[in-house]
Parts: sequence; structure tokens; C-alpha cells
Amino acid sequence: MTLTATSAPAVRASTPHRKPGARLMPRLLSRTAVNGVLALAMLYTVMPLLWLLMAATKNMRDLFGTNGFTFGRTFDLGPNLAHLFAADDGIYLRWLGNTALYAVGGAFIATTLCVAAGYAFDKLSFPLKEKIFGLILLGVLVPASAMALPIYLLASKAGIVNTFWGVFLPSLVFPFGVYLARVFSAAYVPAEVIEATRVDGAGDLRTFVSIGLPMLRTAFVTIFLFQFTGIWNSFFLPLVMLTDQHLYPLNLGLYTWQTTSLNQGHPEDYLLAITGSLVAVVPLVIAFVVLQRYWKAGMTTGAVK
Amino acid sequence: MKPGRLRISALLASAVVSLPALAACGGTDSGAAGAKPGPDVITFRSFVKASDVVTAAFNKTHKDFQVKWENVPSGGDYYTKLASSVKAGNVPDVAIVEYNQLPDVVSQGELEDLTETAGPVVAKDFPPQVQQLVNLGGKTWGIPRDVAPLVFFYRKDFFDKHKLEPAKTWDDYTNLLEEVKKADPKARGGIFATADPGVVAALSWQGGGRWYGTEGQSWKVTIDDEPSKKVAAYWNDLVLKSLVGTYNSTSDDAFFQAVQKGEVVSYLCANWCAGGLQSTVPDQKGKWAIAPMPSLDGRPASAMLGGSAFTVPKGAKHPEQALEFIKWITTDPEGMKAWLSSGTSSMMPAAPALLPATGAFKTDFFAGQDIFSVVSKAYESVPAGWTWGPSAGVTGTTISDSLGKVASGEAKLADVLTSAQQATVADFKSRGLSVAQ
Amino acid sequence: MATRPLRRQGRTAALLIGPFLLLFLTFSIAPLVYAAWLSLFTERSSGLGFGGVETFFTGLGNYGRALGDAAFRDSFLVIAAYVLLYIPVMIGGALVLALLLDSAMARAKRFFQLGLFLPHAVPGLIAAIIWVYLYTPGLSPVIDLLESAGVKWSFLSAGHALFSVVNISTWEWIGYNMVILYAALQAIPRDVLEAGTVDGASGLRIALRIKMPLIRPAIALNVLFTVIGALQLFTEPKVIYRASTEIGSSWSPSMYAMRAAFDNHDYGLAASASILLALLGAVLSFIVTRFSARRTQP
Repeated sequence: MTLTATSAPAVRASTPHRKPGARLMPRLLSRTAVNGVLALAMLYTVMPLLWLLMAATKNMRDLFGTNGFTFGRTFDLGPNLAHLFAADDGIYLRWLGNTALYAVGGAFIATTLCVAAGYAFDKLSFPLKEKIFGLILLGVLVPASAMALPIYLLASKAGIVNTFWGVFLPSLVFPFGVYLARVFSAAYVPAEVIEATRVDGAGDLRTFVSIGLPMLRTAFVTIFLFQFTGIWNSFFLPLVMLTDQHLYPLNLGLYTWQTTSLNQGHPEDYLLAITGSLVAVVPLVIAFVVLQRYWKAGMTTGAVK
Repeated sequence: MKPGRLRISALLASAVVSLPALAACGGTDSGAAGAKPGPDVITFRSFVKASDVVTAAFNKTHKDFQVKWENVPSGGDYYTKLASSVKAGNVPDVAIVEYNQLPDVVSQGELEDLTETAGPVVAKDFPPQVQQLVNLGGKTWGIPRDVAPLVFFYRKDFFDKHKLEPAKTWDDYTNLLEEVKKADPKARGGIFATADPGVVAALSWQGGGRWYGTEGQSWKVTIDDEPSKKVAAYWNDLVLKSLVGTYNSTSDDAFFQAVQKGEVVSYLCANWCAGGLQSTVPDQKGKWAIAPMPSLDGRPASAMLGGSAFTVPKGAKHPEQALEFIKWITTDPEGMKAWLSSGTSSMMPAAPALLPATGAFKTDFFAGQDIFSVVSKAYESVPAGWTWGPSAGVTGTTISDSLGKVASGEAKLADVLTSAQQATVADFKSRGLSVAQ
Repeated sequence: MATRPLRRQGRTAALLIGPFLLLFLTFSIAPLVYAAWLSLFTERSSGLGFGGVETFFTGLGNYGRALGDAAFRDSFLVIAAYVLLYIPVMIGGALVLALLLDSAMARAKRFFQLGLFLPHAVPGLIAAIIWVYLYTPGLSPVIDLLESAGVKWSFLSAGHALFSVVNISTWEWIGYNMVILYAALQAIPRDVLEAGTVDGASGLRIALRIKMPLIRPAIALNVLFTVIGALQLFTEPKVIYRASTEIGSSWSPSMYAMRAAFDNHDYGLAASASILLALLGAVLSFIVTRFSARRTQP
């Protein structure tokens, strides 16, 4: 529904349109201004992360007593990490594992289902095709947060509230991914290739697995990243669905720690949410830096949210 | 671009390979661990301070079964979680419920009826005004742990330095607040908690208001009765004159920061504030003291802010052990000492026989003052006849959602009470409860 | 002869689409249908209310109650105010950054792009937690910085909550939107820009007169998506709720539905509020779809 015409950012940094010799001083000034504004904006986006990093290295006294953007009087990252992984019998690791399972596992299965369905909608003909596709598009339209309570209500009827499946199964459904996969299939898998395999007598399923799927690798990665981010960010659904801490994703666990930090009056508990956030963010930031080529490609081919 | 693409598929593949291993532990063992050999483990949800200590103490002295404590947020989030746990069939064996929330929780069918088992204990060990808080509709729903009378906390060093005295009447209190502000323009002698409707209720209670009552099988709701409105007007005035500081509650970061900086030199709170104060602001050891709170006519009067009972949620898997644990932490001297020796809990036992256990609470932070004698006198001065209604959710959120507006001058506290009155009556009626006019 | 491969195609299609469709019907359609059904009932007890509850059919009564509840209507007003503040700040900011980055003056473009995009790697909840700390007096270096500059600003007190929520959203999304707009700018054919330069137009003029109109569709799309995203507002206010004196328990529509369900135990009301929110979201998305379909059709 929303592919804009801004396909691949093919033209990288064009040659500067420079008029030789003319007006050197204003040019220098405006260059400083342009880069200055960009640097300021970057300060805004990076400073909170710097604060998180610094805060995780302090004890509670220094957290309140020293400048947020510098190190504290003592370097307590080690003790903080030790407390993080030991708290509540090491539940943090459990949350990490759960999140990996919900987000990586969920996004992987969801993407597989999306790509298979999107390919079928694009390349195969069958009865009621456009009607079914229309129904799926309807699913794209409903905002996710409006779905959380209805899913909870039905799940409580079905008895899967407060189970792993109550959060995992709903995350396998990604209607927008089907739409994306169909568009990708139309663009990346030439109809002639499919025709040729048909003439050779290959079955449709085999054609999909051996010809279609490899050609849809980019689609796979793009949809995967979308749904992975979606599940990682989801908070409302786990919040209403789960009451057992052992099933929590990181999001919910950190929220609980943040809201109970002062309950028992132990100063070291105060830093759990902070250190826990840092440990959760670091791999994500690294992944984003390493994989930047992929998310950029994904975002700009399907300029969507 | 090709090699990179391959690398990411490899990454995904390896992630997927590791899924089954994780799935094995992603099951639904809720910590109840019925399958494990050894003694049963029961679960215990509580947000009050020293819950961890009391659990450890119990586990040390009891071998027939063990208790696993689960930390939960206090306030509305907790009751949300309790409600959804009951709906999900995943309840702890023991859950804390504050007195003001109990009618709501009971009317939603979230608790086991303990009349047979806990009823006699409650009748034997607790005074009538406490019994009345856990006996609802002729049945017993929990065993009381503590009572929480309001007292006046103040920085003795600041008061001595500026020759100030704790106030006896509310008029004195207004003067005191002005004096504090004069002595130090940044300091305030009181606070207005914008996220805690319980404070408004307690102040109304002390001032002679009665928010709920019953007439036969009908509720009588009078949240905006005259005494409550008078109290509301008084505090509204203090807020608008900026004589009191505005904070969310007495347990949030901003409040403790202000205490640390000496911007809050006195405030009204229940006795349980003492534990939080001394564990969060340890630097001010020896500087604090406690006095009775001001009253209308100078005669002792207080009211309860909080106080809680322990209950067995509907569908609990180990009700018998749950009750044994509850009895230990509410009526056994050893259990009571465990709460108080932690140094983080300064609760006042609801069972009068256990008052000596308060000796376990070290009072260095209050320069050795016998704070519990002040607290127990305050408790004796709580006016009788207050009951809570089954609308903690609606009444509480209607009030707390507007307290921010009171603080900014956009709303009048008395009007907030009136809208809480209307919302509560409307809620009762829509739920089919009988309401007497 | 032609029907056989077609039938075979149908079977393959069923195999490829079936699993998705099954999950889709179970976890997208069925919950909505069930919520719509539940929204027609209400629970009632009697007397003092300690004797359990019974369920009654109420027709559209819950919808009437939701729409008649000022708190529910206010939550949409909050969203409206949020959108009015957020869109100009966010889209304007993203646009300025994208134009600056696209200008010939900018250096280290990749570095800036990555740095500006970085917050998007942080999950919304963690972003909210970080910012709540940065909003907390005594803990926040930001407040100290402002104070040393002579500005006294309390992020958590009355009147400032909307700004504080908008700031968190902006922090999370400004880089994302900038990257999209930047890509749109990069896709502008170079000869169009060359023509402008030859005419002697300055960088600023080129940006405003040539580039802006060309990427207007991308901007419009961003605006509309941001509006729909705003309807979902939940995580940020939920996290700030405990610290702010202004944000109430039903500040956004999602928070209202959650409060109705779990604090007030009014599942009929919660279901009807969710259905209304879903409907509004669907209508808005439908408009977006129509709009963008018209824009992107060749």
C-alpha cells in the first residue's frame, strides 16, 4: 500500500556544485553552520545513550551526586553487572533468552509465512485470490495497540493467558509483511523464470523453494527486520498477557524493575533497570551499526512504518 | 553486497538452530515447582518493605515447606496484576492487599473465603476496628498485618535551629509552614502528594469525614461530605500559596531528592515512611524526629494511610500452607521481629500483643527517639467508624488523575471530591450495587 | 488441459498461504469478533456487591458509556494535541536534517546519518526509561544544564507532560524519518538540481524551491503514518505515569482501555473502547492507503 517511488538510494553523494573562486568566506561560514546544526542534532540523539553508559558504571550515591555525562568517583560497572545477573536468581538471563525466543524466533517464523504467502499471491492463480488479499489488508489497517486487549480477552477464554504461546503466537501474524512480500515478489522474481520451470515440468512448490525463495532473500531480511523490531518493541501485549515473571520479555522485566526499584529500600536495586537497559541496548546498537546496509535498503524500498 | 547477505542468513540460521534449546525452558513452570522433589514451594507476592527479609527468615526456620517471594510494583499496577492473575488462573498462594483495596478485590471475586480458617484468628488477636477492615459481608478475607496511623515527621535540627515546634492545630500548622518558608525560602514544611489519593482520604478521615457507609444492604457514599470539603479547602489553600511542596508520593525519586537537599524539612506520613526514609537518606541519620499530627482542636486525632492484610487469592494451589505462612508473618512474634529487624520496615503491628516486637526496629536515625510510642498513641486516636467501599479503582483514579490539576491551580480539591462522589455512585449503579441516597 | 496446472496451483497456494491465513484468522480477526461480542455485555452484582457478579446483555450500552465518558473523549483530545505538537517538531526536524545532510556543505554524511538514526535501535520502553531518569530532578544532567543556562524547567510537573512525551517520540523517530526523507532527496534526478545551480540559485533556494516540492509525497506519507502511530501511544506515557503529576491513568485511549479492564474490571467497556479505537485506526489507515495509492500509481 505504501511503496513510495524512492527506490534504492542509488546515487550516493553527488558531486558538489561548486562555483570556483566565488564567495569563499560565506561558503566557509555556511559550511560551519550546516555541520554545526548536524552535530548539535547528533548531540541530542547520542547524549541519552552516553548518560545510560555512564550511569551503569556508578553506584547510587554517584548517580545522584556526580555529573550524568561523566564517570563517577568509583567505577562500579563490574558490581552492577554482577548484581544484574544475580538478582532474583539470575532472572535477567531468562528474560534475555525469552526476548530472543519471542523476537528472533517469532520474526523468523512470521517472515517465512509472509514470504510464502506473498509469493503465492503474486505468482499463483487461485479462486478468491483478491478477496482473501483484501481481508489481509484489513488486518494491516487495525492499529496493534487496539488489538492487544481483544487478543487478551480471547486468550483468556482459550486458556493461554500467561503462557509463552499467548505472546508468541500473536507475534507470528504480520499482515503487512504479506503485502510487502507480494510487492517484492513482483519486483524481484521475473514471471518468465517461473514460466520456464513450469514448462520444464517442475511442481509449483518446488519452484518456490528452489527458484523463488533464493530470489526473495532481500525481502526476507527486510520483513524480518521489520517484525523483529516490532516484537522487540511490543509492550502492551506482554503487559496484559503475562503475570509470571519467568515468561517476561526484557521490556516487561525492565519495567517491573523500574517500578519496584525503591520498594525494598535497597540502594543497589535502584540501578537494576539502568544496567539492565544498557546490557539490552548494546547488542542492538552493534547490530544496527553492522547491519546498517540492510535496514537502510529495507526502509527505502518500502518507505513505511 | 552479496557476501554480507550470506552472512546475515548464516546469523539467522544459527539463531534458529538455538531455538529448540531455549524452547525447552520457555515452558510454564511458574515457580510453584510441584514436580520438584523436596518440600512444597508456595509463592508470595508483596511490595511492602522487608518482604524479602521475612521470607528468608521463614525459610530458615521452616522445613516442611518453603516460600518464594515475588517483587511487584506497589499501587494501581499491583491490583491490575492481581486481577489479571486471577483471570489467568496463575495466582500466588499469598498476596498482600491494602485495607482500602480489600472491598474492591473481594467484590471482584479475587480472593478465597477464609472465614473458617482465619476467622477465629482475626477474632481472637485483633481489636474490633481492625477486624472490621478484613471482615466484609460477614466473611473473613485476610489476616491484618499492620496499621498505619499518620504522624508528623520533622527535621529536628532544622526546627531547633529556627526555634520551631511541631504544630498542635491546623492553624498552627499554617503558621509553621510560613515560618519554615521564611527561614529558608527553598525549604517547605509539608508536601502535597499528587499520585496518592489515600492521603486525601486519610486527611478527610481525620477531619471527621466518612466516605463510605452501609445501610442494610445498600451503600451510602459521601465522599464530598462537609468535613471532607473543609479539609480539601484547607489543603487547596496551602498548595496555592506554595506553602507545601508538590510531589508524586512519599516514595518517588523527586521527593527523596528534595529531602536529601533539605527542601523538605517536615511532612505528614504514616509510620511506615520511617523505614523508607532511613534507608533512602542515610546521611540524615540522627536529624529526624516524629510527633503527633496537627488536628482541628488540638486534641489527638489521626487516621490511617495504608496498612495491609495478607490474603489467599482465588485458585491458590497451596491454601493450607499459605495460611500457615500468613499466620507466621502476622501473628507470630518471630515473624514480626523479622519484618522490623530489617531496618527498612517500620510498620506498626495490627495485633496489639506484638507491640513489643517493635523494639527490633533500631531508631538511631531518629536519634534514639521511641517513635513507636508516638505511633501507637496516634493509632489510639484514630476516629472509629470509617469503612472502605468496593471502588478503590474508580474513586482512587478519579481523584489521583485530578490532583495534578489541583497542584497547578487548574482544579479545586473540593470539586475533585465532588466528581469522585459522582463517579463512584455512577460506578456502583452501573455495577448493580444498591446505593442509598 | 489448462485447468490441471491451475488446480495444482490452487493446491500449492493453499499450502503456502494456509498457515498464515489460519494464524491471521485466529489472532487478528477472531479477537476482534470476540471483543465486539463481549462489548455487548455488562457485568452486574447486587446489594453490597460481595456476592459475585452476573452478566447481562446491554446492546450498544457500553459504546454509549465509553463515548459519554469525558475521560475517554479527553484521551482522544490528548492524542490530537500530541499530534499537533509532534508532527511539526518531528517532520520539520527530520526534513531540516535531511536537507542539511543532502546539501553540498555537509561533511561526514555517513557518520551523521548513523548517529542520528541510533536511537531507533533502542526499544521504545528503554527509551522511555532513560528519559524518565533524564526528567528526574537531582538525577538529570539535562535539568542541571538548563538551570545553568538560567532555564528552570520541570519535565514532570503539570502542563509539561505532553512536551515530555513528544520529546521521547521525537528522539526515537527523528533519525528514522530523516533517513527516509534523505533517501527521497537522493532520488531526485541530478540534472534537475544542476539546472538550478546553473541559474545561480543558492543552496537554501535550491532546497526550498526545488527539493521540497519534489519530495512532498514522501513528507505527506510520513505525516499520515505518524498520525496513525500516535493513536497507539501507550508505552511512553505508561512509563512516565508514575513520575509525572500530570499524566493520569487514562491519558491515552490505550491506557483508558487498560484501566477499564483491569482497574475497574469493566471488560465490556474495555472491549468497546478497543473496538472504537480499532475502527478509528482503520478509517485513518484507509484514508492513507487511498492517498498513497493515488500518489504512487504511475
